[in-house]
Amino acid sequence: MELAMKIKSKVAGIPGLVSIISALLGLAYFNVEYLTKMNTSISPYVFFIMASVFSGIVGLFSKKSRLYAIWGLGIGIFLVVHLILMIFFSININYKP
Amino acid sequence: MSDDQNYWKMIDRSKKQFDENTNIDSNKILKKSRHKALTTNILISLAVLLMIVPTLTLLTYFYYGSGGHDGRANTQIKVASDVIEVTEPNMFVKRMELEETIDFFSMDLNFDVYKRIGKEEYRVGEYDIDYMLDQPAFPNRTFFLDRPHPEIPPRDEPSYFIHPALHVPYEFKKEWEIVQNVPDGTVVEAYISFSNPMKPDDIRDINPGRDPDIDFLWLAVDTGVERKVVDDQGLPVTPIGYPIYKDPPTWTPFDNRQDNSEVFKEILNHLEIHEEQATKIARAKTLALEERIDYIQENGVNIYGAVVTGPASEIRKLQDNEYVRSLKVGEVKLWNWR
Repeated sequence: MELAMKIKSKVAGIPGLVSIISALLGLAYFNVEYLTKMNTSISPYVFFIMASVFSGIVGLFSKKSRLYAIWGLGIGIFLVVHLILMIFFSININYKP
Repeated sequence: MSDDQNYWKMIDRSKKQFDENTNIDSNKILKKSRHKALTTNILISLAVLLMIVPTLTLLTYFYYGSGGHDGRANTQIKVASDVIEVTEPNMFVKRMELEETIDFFSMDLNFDVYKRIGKEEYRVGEYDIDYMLDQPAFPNRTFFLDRPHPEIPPRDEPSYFIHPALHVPYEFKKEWEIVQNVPDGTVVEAYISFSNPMKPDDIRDINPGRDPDIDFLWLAVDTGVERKVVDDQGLPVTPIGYPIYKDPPTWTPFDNRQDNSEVFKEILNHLEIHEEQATKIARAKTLALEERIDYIQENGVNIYGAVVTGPASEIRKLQDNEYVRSLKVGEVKLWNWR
């Protein structure tokens, strides 16, 4: 019983931590890509964003790492909005069919 | 005893009491909490630092994508390509090939410029314009021309078109010699100046029935300042005009859907709004747009010169043409007159 409680309490902190770490990896990916002008695949970036948003949502329901989950989810949503707006502006600036 | 000492004494007493009442080691909890606080601080600081670049990028794209009808970047792209089309005779930009690079609150515009000589288009140069917000720096121009125009227009002397009110400089007589000596199997780009200003439609009188067999490529418009060669402030001006395309490049405003002289007037009005930027991109130190627009509104669009192209033998015939007062040879290319 005690062991189960201990395991549960440890597992409860994981989604929040996963969320903020994914968000940070997403941010780091964007920074490296933008500052080095590398054209890399967009899929890891989208994966990090999705991971941060979904684990952020899960993490919100656990008391243990709610702070990390809030930050991870916040950054994830920021990155989603950022991605959508960047695509919108990039298409409109010097539009080429 | 100071407050600080009291505080630490109280903490120690509480820790002792806690340890006595429970089996948990308070030092371990404190260490764990300190570790968690440090991790949280590091992660949040890292997040804030890493968010600087995306935030600045977003603000930059928002700045260039918004403002005005088309957004600031598109407006500046239009100004740059329009100013080249109306101030550089027989030179145009293929807007589909124009590349922009946006950095933090700055933009780099890079494009090639083309001329039509004979029946073919030739890449004759490239422009690189750096913008800080919406203000361009002086462009880096590279031309691959045999007879490039002077980088800084000469003061008090017309460079290639001569207004009918001005004397033709002596050097222009040598230009006919060049035309006479250009081999027959070549095509020539020539800047011709007329004996009198005329309406754009009257250029057909110069080669009725296509004799001589030449194409008109660009028309120099009389805007009042050409007879002085300088503007009101004494700064040298360069010719201004508009192209005539048989096969217009993609997205040029001179796409033959509307009368080109009307499009020309619209472009001048648009450039006047962005005159500071347009003047930086143009070779002339002044465009004197207000003065020129007023003159055109009063007198209509009259032309005093044109860029023509054709086989060398046909260009030679212009020497005896009553409408042509002077000529300056531009570029010469191998035969492509098909």
